[in-house]
Amino acid sequence: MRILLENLSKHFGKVKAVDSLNLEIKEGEFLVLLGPSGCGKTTTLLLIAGLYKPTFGNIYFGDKIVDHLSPKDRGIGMVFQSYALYPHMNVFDNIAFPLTLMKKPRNEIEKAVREIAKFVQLDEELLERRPGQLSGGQQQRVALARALVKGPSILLLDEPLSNLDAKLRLIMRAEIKHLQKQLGITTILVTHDQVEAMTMGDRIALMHNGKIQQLGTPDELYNQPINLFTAGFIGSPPMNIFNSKIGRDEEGYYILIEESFKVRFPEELFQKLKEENLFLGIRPEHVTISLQASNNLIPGRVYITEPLGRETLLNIQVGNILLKSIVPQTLKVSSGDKIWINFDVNYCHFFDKNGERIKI
Amino acid sequence: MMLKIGDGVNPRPKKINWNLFFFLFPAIALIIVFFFIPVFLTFLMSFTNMSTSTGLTGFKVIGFKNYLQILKSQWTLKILKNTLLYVFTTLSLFNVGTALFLAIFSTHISENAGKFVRTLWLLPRITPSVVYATLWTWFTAEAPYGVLTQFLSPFGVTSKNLLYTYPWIFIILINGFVGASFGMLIFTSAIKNIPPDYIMAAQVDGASTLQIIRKVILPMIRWPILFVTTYQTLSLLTSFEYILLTTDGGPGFYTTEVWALYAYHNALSNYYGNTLFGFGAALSVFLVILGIIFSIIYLKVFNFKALISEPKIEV
Amino acid sequence: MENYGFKGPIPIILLIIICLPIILLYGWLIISSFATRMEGLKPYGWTLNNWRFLLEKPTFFWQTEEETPNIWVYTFNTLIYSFGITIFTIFICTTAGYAISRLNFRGRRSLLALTIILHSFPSITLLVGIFVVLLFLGLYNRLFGVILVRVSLQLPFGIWIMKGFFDSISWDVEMASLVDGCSRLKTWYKIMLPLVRPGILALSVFTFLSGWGDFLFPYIFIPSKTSQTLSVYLRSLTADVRFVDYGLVTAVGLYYMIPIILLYIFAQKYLLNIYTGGTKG
Repeated sequence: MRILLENLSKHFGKVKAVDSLNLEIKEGEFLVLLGPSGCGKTTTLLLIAGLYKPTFGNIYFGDKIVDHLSPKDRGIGMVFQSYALYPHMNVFDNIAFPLTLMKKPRNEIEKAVREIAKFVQLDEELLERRPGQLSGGQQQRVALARALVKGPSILLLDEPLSNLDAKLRLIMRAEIKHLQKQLGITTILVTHDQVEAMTMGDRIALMHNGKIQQLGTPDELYNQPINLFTAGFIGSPPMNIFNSKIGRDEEGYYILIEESFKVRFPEELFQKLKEENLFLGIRPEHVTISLQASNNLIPGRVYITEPLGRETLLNIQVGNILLKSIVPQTLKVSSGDKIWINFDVNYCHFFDKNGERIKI
Repeated sequence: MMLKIGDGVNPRPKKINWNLFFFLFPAIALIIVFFFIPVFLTFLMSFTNMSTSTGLTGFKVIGFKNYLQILKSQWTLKILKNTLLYVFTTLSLFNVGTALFLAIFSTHISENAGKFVRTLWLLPRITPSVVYATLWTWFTAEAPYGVLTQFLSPFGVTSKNLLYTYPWIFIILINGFVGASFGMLIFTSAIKNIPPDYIMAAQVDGASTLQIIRKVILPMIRWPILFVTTYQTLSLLTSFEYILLTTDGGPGFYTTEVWALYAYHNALSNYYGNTLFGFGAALSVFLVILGIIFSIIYLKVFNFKALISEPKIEV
Repeated sequence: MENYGFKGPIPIILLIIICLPIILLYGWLIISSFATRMEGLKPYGWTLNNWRFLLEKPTFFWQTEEETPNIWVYTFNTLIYSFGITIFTIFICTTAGYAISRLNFRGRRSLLALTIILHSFPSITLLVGIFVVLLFLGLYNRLFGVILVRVSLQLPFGIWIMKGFFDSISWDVEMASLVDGCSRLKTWYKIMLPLVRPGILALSVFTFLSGWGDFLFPYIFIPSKTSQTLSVYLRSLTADVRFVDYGLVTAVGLYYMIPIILLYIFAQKYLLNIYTGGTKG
C-alpha cells in the first residue's frame, strides 16, 4: 500500500512536533524515519497509525484519505518499543487477539497463529507461556507475529530493536529485513540509531525539529548530505566539520580552517565557491595520513589513538583544533608522533553559512 | 508553504461521543445528585424554618434567623468548646501522637512483630462501628462486669460506670484507637522510604535512639505529618458516629456534644420528635464551609500538575 | 528494609502496653459470646445458647414476635447493601477513573480537581441535604436509595484510586490493542480492566468492608425494620442499657464480624495497599 503524507502537521500546544511533512512511501518500500529524540519521528508514526489526529494535513493510504479512520480500521500492524504484549494473555492469545476481534472461526485462528509463529521462528512450545516468561528476543517475535497475523497492508515498527542486547539486535535486524522483503509489505521503521537505519531501510527520512531534513537512500545520505545536520548526524565517528574561510595569497587560493591552518585545493573548485565563509566537512576515513613531510601536506601531531580492532581512530591535533581520522590498524603511531595529513578534494563537502550543501 | 489556521483542517463529523458518555455519565450524575444538590439544599434550607411540623412544603423563609439563634444560644459556646477539646486532644494524642509512636517503633522491631502490631491497630478501623462501640461500653461498664474497673479497682478507682464518670477520657480513647491507624500507615510507609544510609550515618556519628528520631526521622517525614494533621483535623471536626453510639452527647445536657453531632441531633433526631431541618442545616453550613476551605487547601498542597499527564491517544 | 534496630526492651514493652486494650476488647468479644455470664474477663461456664439467634428470633418481653424479622433477613439486607455498594462503586470508578486517566476530553483537568476536592470533603455534613434529596426521589426508606448515597460518597476516593492504577499501565499496550482492532470501549473492557485487577480487588475489599460495617446511613435513611441491616439490628439490641444481654450481643457482634475477619486475614495485602495508597481518613 502506498502512503502519502500531505502537509502533515501535529502541534501540541505551541510545540510543532510534526511540521508540514510531505512524504511519499512507495508500495512495498522499507522506509526508515531517523532522527534524534524529540524530532517528531514517533509522532509521525502515531499519526499514520491513527493514534494521533493531525492538526493540519492529510494522510492517504493508496488514494484514500484515512484521517477519519480509527486505528483498527486502517489495516496496519504495529510493533512497539516495549513490545506491548498483553501480560494477562498467553502467547497464543496475544497473537490471536487481532483475529479474535475480527470474530474469525476458532480453527482458522488456530491455523493462522501457528503459521505466523512458524514464519517469525517462534517455537511452538512457547505459545502456552505468558509474555513475562519470555526473553526479549522471543517477545519481539511475538510482537511481530501479532502485528502480521491479520495480514496488514502496512507494518509500523517503533524502535523495535532498542530493547534488545547488542548481539540479538544484529540478528533481528537481518531477520526483520528478510521478513519484510519476503512479504513485500510497506514498512515504516522509527529509530534513533543510524546504523539500524542505514542497514535496514530502502530509503531514510532523516528528521529534525518536526521536519524532514533529507530523504534518500542510505548511500545518498552518507555520501551527499544535503545540509550540515545530515552531515553531522549520519556517520560514526561523525564527519569532521570546520568553520572555514576562503582566502588568497601569492600561491593562490586556499581555505583557512578554523582560523588555524590553510588547505589548498585546485583552482577550479574556487570558481564554484561563491561565498567567503563556509563550512568544510570531511569524513574521518577520507583524512589521509602520511608519516613523511611533503609538499601540500599539513603537519599535525597525534593527540590520542583509539584502537577499534579492524582499524584505528586517530585524534590529530592540527594548530588549535582536533580532528579525527580512521586509519588501518597496521599503521602504528602513538600519542605525540608527528604526522602529516591531507584532505582529498573529491571527498570534501562544502556547506554555505546557512548549512546548505554547495553543489560542486 | 505557509498554512493559515483552518487550512487543511479535516472537518470531522460532529457527533455525540458515546464513549465519553458511557465512561463519565454515571459518576457525574451521582456526584451532582448527592454532592452538589445537597450542598445547595443545605445552604437554602438554612434560611428557612423547615422542620418535621412544616413538612417539605409548608415552610417559611426566615432569613438569617437560624444563624442569629445559633449566635444567641446558650449552648453554642459549650458545644464549640467541646468540639475543640475533642478535635485537638484526639488529634495530638492519637491520630498523630500514637500514630507516630506506632510507626516509629513498629518499624524498628522485627518485621513480623511490626506487621502484627500494625495489623492489630487496623482492627478497630475495620470493625463495624456498632460492634466497636459495644466493646467499649462493656469495657467501661461498672463492676463486676467491666474489665477496666476490675483492673483499676486496686488503684482506688470506684466501681462506677467509667464511660459516664469520665466521659471525655473515653470519648477520646474510643475515637483515638480508631484514628491512630490512618497516620500509622502513612507514617510507616514514609519511614520505610527513608534511605537507611541516613540512619546508619547518624549511628556512626554516635547519635542515640532518641536523637535519631528527633534529628533524622521526624524531619524527614514532616510532609506526611503535616498531611495527616490537616486531613485528620477535618475528619475529626465532622465525625460524630462513635460519640453517637456511646454517650450520644451525654451524660446530662451536652456534656460530650460536638458541633457535628449537634447538627445531626437538631436536623434528624432529637428528643422532641420535631426535628428542625432548617436549623440543623444552618449548623451544617459552618461545617460545609470549613470542608470546602480545607478541600481547596488540599488541592493546593497536592502538586496538581504532577497528577495529570496528557493522554497519548487521540482516538 | 534493614532492621537497623533500636536497642533494649523499652520499645517492645511500650508497644505491648498500648496494644493491650485492643487485645482485651476483642478477646472479650470472643469469650463472652460463648459464656453464660462474664465478670470482667472471667467467664462463668460455657454455652452455645448465645448463638440461638441463628435459629430463632430473640424476643423480649416488650416485643411481640411478629415485629422483628429474623437474623437472616438482616444478613440478607446487609449483603445486598454491601454488594450493591461494591458493584456500583467498581463499575463507576473503573469507568470514570479510566476516563480521567486516559481519555482526551474537555474539562478533564477540572474533573480531576473536583475529584480531589470531593475526596477530602466531609460528606457527613450533607446528611440533611441528602435526606431531602432522597425524599424527593422517593428513595427514602429504600435500601437502593442508601446504596446510591453511599456509592456517591465513595466515588471521589474510588475514582482517585482507580485513576492511579490506570495511570500505571503502559500506553504502548493500549495503543497496541487499538491497532489490533479494539475500540476504546473494548480496550477498556478486554485489556485495561484485566490489567488493573489488583486495583479492582483492593477497592472491592475496601468498599465491601466499609459497606458491611456501615451504621449511620442505614440507621438514618432506612427506618423500616424489614430493610434494616445488621448494624442497625445490633444497635437495637443494645439500645436499652437496662436490658442488654451481653451474651447475645457479643454473639451477634461476632457473627456480624465473620466476613470482616475473613477478609481481614485473607485480603490484608489489598487493604493495606488501599489505606496507604488512598488517603481517606
